[in-house]
Amino acid sequence: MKRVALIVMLSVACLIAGCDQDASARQWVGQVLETDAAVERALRAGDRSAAVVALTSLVSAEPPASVGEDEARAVRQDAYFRLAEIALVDEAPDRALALVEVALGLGDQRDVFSANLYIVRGKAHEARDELVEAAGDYHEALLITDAQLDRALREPSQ
Amino acid sequence: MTHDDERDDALGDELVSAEERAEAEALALAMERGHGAGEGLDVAAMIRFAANPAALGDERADAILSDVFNEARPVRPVAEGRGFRWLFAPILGVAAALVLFYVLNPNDVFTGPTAALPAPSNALLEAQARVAAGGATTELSEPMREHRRSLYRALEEAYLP
Repeated sequence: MKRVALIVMLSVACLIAGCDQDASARQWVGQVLETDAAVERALRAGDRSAAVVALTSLVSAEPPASVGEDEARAVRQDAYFRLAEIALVDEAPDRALALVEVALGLGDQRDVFSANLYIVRGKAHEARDELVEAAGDYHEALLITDAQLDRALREPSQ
Repeated sequence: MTHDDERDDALGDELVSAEERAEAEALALAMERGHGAGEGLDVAAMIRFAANPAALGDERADAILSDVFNEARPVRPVAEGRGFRWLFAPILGVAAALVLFYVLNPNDVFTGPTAALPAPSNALLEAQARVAAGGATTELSEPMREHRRSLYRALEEAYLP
């Protein structure tokens, strides 16, 4: 009887653990979609503060471990890019630089998301008259874009 | 040389008379166990030991006792490994749960669900190149919105039922 109880308990624990992972991933993806909709609405209405609040809430939430690392990084780097863009519009290049530093700290995968971050950092440096640093960031972004274009030409189906 | 022969030697001829040997053989036959005279000799020696404890030396007594113990404790192969049998049931339970979980979520076992990041469009890459070359960041807005939609679609397909 004890053995049967042990089997049932272990089986239920395994199933609960699997279901719980799925639930937290679903919840996080749901938050991503809601945030995007809220940001789009806010920006259309010219309410940058509301957009910042929504994006900040998204980057503050730790993605669950059941979400792929690369996907979580892409979503968060894109949110940081949008926050940095808004900071530039708000004429706050320092804030933009700080946001980009955090975003690049998540990993530089040499894709469109990191290219965007180098571009917006270049703009922030430009706004602070740091032209050499700005040129360096634009160059980095162009290198990434060039590699991406090269890949797209080699794999035209994508 | 057989085991019985060895035992006979151990008992020694000087302690076993012809008469005792005959009695032992008769006893073995009477017991109808199919054994040779060796076992009967052991019995005869034990009978003599009961009458006179000094009649058996230590070595002979040990030889006889070891035979007794061997027969008194037959090997029981069925009992081997019984101590770990209880482990099979929980392991089987976990395996069954994993199989069930795999049947319900075939893509999620071991690796978990993943969404392949979408490839960027040429329009997005060209816009990035233009902005990096001095264009306005607003040029990125529309192609990035499209790329974002592709990313979210991939996430929905991977994580939302």
